[in-house]
Amino acid sequence: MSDRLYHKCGLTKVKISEKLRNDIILAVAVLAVALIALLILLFASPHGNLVSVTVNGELYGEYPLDVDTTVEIYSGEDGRDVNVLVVSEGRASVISANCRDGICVRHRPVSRSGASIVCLPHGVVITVVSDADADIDIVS
Amino acid sequence: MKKIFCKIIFSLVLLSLLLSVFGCNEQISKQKFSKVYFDHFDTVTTVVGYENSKEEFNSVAALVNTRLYEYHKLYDIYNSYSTITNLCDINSAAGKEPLKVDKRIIDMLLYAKEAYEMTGGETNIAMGSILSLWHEKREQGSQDPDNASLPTDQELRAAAAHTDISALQIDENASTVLITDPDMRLDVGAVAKGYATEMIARELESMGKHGYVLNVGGNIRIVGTKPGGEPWRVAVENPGIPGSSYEYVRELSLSSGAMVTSGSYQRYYVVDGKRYHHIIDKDTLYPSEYFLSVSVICDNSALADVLSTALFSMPYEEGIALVSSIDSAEALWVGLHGEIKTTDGFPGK
Amino acid sequence: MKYGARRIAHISIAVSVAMILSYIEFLLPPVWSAVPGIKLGLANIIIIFAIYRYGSGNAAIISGLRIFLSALLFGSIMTLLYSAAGALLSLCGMMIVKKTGLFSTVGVSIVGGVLHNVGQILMAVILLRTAEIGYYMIVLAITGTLAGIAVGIAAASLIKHIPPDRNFLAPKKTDKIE
Repeated sequence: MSDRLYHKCGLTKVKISEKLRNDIILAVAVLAVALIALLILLFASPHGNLVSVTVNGELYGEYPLDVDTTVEIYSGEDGRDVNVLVVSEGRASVISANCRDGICVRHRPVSRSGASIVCLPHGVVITVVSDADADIDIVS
Repeated sequence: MKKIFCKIIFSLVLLSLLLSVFGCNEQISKQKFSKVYFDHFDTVTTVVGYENSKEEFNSVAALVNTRLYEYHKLYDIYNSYSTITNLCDINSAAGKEPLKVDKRIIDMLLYAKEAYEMTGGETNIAMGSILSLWHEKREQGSQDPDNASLPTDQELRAAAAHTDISALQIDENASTVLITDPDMRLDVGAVAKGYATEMIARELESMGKHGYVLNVGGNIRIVGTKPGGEPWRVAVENPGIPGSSYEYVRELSLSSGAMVTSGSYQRYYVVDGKRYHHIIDKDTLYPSEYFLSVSVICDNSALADVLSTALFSMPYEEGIALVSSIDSAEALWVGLHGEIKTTDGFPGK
Repeated sequence: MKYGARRIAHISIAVSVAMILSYIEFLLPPVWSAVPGIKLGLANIIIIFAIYRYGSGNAAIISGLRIFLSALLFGSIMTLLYSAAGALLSLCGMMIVKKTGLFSTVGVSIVGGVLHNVGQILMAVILLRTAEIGYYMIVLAITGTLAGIAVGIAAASLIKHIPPDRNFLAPKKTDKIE
C-alpha cells in the first residue's frame, strides 16, 4: 500500500502518511496478538486425540492418547465394578474387567477419533475424541 | 398511511416466507452435542445432534430416551408391567383370551407380519420358544462361564414345532392380539429396535428437527443432514475379523435414511471355547454361521433391521436376490474370514 | 432529530444497499467451510460510509435496521442475537476509533471487522456455555483484519466518489459546515 493509493481513495485531507502508518501498526498489532495467542494455545493444550471415559453418561476422566497409561475405572455400588483401561502406542483398550459379558475386553483397541469401546453392564463408554471435527460421527 | 403500512408488513412477510427457502444461514449458531443412554432395549443408545443450545439438545435427547423407554416396555417379552399390557402379557395369554393392547404394539406386529412375507419367512417373530431356550442358556453361560451349556436338540425341535406365525391373530379394529397356539411365543428382537427407532425418528421429523442421528444399538437413523447440508460420516464396525486391527470395515457418508448392522459380535456366549451368538437360523435352530456381520442401508430403520437380521441367516446368493427385490436397499456382508461383499450401490469404501 | 424526508431516503437507501451486499455475500461460496463465520463483511462498507457521512447516530440506526430486517428476511431469532451482538460491538469500536482521528477508514474497518467476530463469539460463549472456541476466535481475528483492510479501502473509495448531500439534515457536523 502506498500513499498514492490512499490519495486515489480520497483520503487527501489530513496527514495521510501518519494515518497510513497508524493503520499498518494497528493491523500488525492485531495480527501479532492473534498469532501469539495461537502459539500459546498450540503449546499449552495437549496435542491430538484424547480418550474420554464416561460412566453412566457422567465424565469420568480424559487421557491423552499419546501418553501411555493405565486407568482403573470404578463404577457401580461402592465402586465394585471395574474396567482396566490401557493406553499404549496411541491406542486405547480394556485389558480386564469384572463385567458379566467381557465384550469390552475382547473389543479391538481404538485409536481413531469417534471410535469407542462400550461396557454395557457397567455403563462405561470409552471414546476417542479430538479437538478437530471427528472423522466419523457414528458407528454401526 | 395505515394502508401503506399494512402493505409493507404484508410484503415483508411474503418476502420472508419466500426467502426462508434459500435463507437459513446457520453459521456458527449450531453446535454438535451427543448423549449416551444405557437403559433400554438392553443396548447402548447414542443421540447426536446439532442444536443452538445444550438445553435444547438435552430436551430432544430426553424425549428420545422417554420414547425408547415406552417402546421398550411395550415390546418387552421378559418383564410384565402393572400399568400397561405388553408383549410379555400377550405371550403369557397364549392359547387363552385376546388382550387389548396399545396401537403401537398392533402396528409393530402388523409390520412384523409384513416382514415375514417379504423375507420369505426368514424373519419370524413366532420363533420366541426357540429363542428363549437360547436366551436362557446365554444368560446362564454369561454369569457362570465354567458351566455354560447349549440347549438340547430335543428341546429345540420341540420348540420348533410351534413357530407358525398364523397362530398370531391381530384384530386391528378391536386393537386386540391373541396367540392361538398355547406353546407359541413372540420374540420381536429382529424388528422392535428398528421399528421403535424409526417411529421416534419420524416424531422428531414431524417436530421439524434437523441435524440429528439416532443410534440404538447399531440401528442408525438419520434425521436431517448436518447444518449446511453436509452428510453424516458413518462407519461399519470391524466385526472381529481374525488378524485384522482395522477399527472399521467401511466408512461412508449418509444424508438420510437408516443403516443397521447385525453381527455375531454383538451378543454371544462361549461354550467349550466356541462362540454362540444371538441370531438363530430358523432352519438349523443354531446360531447362523454364514457371516461375521451384515449391514443394510435403506430409507427406513425398521426395514433395515429386518433385512440385516434376515440376510445374516441366509447364504450370500439368496441374500443378494432378496436385497435386489427391494427398492433403495443396499447391503454389505462381512464373511467369516473378513471377505467383504456388497451390492453395487453400497456407498463408501 | 427530525426525520426529514431526505434523511429517511438516505437511511433507507443505505439500509437496502447494506442488505443487498450481505445477500450477495451470502450467495458467494464459503471461504473455508471448516470455519464458518469467515466473511468479508461487505455491508460494513455502508456502515463506515454512514459513520463518516451521516454521523454516528444515523449509522447506528442504519446498522440496527439492517440487522433487524436481515433477521426477519433471512434468519431467525438466533441469528438476530448473533449479528446484533457483532454489530453493536463493531459499531461502538468503529465510532471510538474514528473519534481518535488517528486512523483512516482502513483502521476503522479493521477494528469493525475484528470486533464483529468478537461480538458473535462472545454471544456464542453466552448461549452455548462453551469456552472451547479459542482457536476460532484467533482465526476470525486474522481473517477479520484482512477483510477489514479490503472493506476499509472500499469504504474510502465510496466516500470519495459519492459527494455529500448538502441538504441532508444531519444533526451535527454537517449542519455546522453548511
